Amino acid sequence: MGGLAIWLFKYRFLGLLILLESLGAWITLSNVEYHNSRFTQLQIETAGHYQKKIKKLTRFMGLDEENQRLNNEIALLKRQLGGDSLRLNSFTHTDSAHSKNSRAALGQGSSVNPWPNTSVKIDFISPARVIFCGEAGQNNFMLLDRGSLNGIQPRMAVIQEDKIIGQVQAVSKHFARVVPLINTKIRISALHPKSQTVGILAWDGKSTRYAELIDFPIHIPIKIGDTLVSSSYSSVYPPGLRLGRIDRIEINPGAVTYKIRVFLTADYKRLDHVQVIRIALQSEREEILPNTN
Amino acid sequence: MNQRPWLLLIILVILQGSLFNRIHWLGLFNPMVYVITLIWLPATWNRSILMLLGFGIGWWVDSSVQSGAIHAMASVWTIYFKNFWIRYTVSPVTLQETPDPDLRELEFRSLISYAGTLLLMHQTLAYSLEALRWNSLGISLIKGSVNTVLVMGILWSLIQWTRSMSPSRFSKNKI
Repeated sequence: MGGLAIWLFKYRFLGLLILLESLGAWITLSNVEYHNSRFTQLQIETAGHYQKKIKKLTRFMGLDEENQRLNNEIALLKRQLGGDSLRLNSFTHTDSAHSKNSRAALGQGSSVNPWPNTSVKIDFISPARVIFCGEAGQNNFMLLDRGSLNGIQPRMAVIQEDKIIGQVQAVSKHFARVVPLINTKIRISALHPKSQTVGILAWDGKSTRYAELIDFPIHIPIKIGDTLVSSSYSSVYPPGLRLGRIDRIEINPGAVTYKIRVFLTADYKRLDHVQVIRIALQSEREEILPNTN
Repeated sequence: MNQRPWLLLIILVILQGSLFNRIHWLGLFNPMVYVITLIWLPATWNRSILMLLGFGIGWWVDSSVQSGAIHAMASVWTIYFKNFWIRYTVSPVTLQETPDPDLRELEFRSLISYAGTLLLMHQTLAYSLEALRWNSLGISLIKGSVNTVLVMGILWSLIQWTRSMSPSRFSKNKI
């Protein structure tokens, strides 16, 4: 104890220096927008750099399964696009030039709709790989190995095949931070296709495989196993993409809405290849909406 | 303890907030004259108080340009480093005679190496923190060097002027 006291006394000025510098850094980051943004970028770059290395080592574990899934996806897309190989370039994870190819293929005025069950056009598609998926706490986030240099911007949707994964929150040059559906701050409007009724899908912060459907009126007939898809209300996600299926229905006495547990389609523990997309005219659509900030 | 030109030092800090922070000539010249006050503060004072004082002065300057606490952080570093640096730059004889030497009593070479290095360190650090980019370190160093020369000029003028105000105290002109 005496030794500790002597040690603390010896380094008291260094301690005060660290304390004051930390205080200064905190004041600067919380008051100056530029520094806050730079620090966020720095965090993403650093985390991305290390997570990419870790992911490289662990990726081999599920390589066969992942290849099979990609083959299935390529086959599905070929069927949908009638063998138009030019458009399929954007889905093969090859080299850094792929984003130019995809933009050339999906360039201005040539928006395509690779998902026949959605009604909106997509004007940007970029493949990406998940290099980190934080599942600690309730504010989960993911890192993708693509960033602003690949054309990725905040508020783009992240999907896997026809499943919604989340949306891009921030980007650095080489990485993108994604807020997945399993984040308590995310709310997404979910459509029950059978009744054409919309509810709100929200994660309750418990299991990564389940979320809750809230605000779904009790007079609408639903049953376990019914599918939920994205609705057309969102300016980020194309409508018709799968969110999950109803797993449990509870009716509380006197309540006007159901308490519904939804089994999520995306398995966040096994994510690797994803696509980042933007629906056509997204900015125009968002501009006309009232500012809710 | 030698008597510092306290009024002048306080005026320098006030002038920094009200006048010098507005000078951005050619995007290069932005004299941080308040660092003169930090350097001129007595080295024999309690170091914790000096660091807190440095943080306070820096923060006051920051508040006038809404730069968070960049100047405060750079000032604390300068104060922390100052006590080490004085031992390496000022001759042991001078330190033995006056453990707390006034800038006006230092030899020219000591003044340049002591004050010049501290000024360069502070200004480069402040510009680097302002830019917060690795690839701006070169620019920060250039801007820091230019402003160090400028502030050293101002410091030299102030030393000469305060000497002329009380010639009897500094009759043994070492410079």
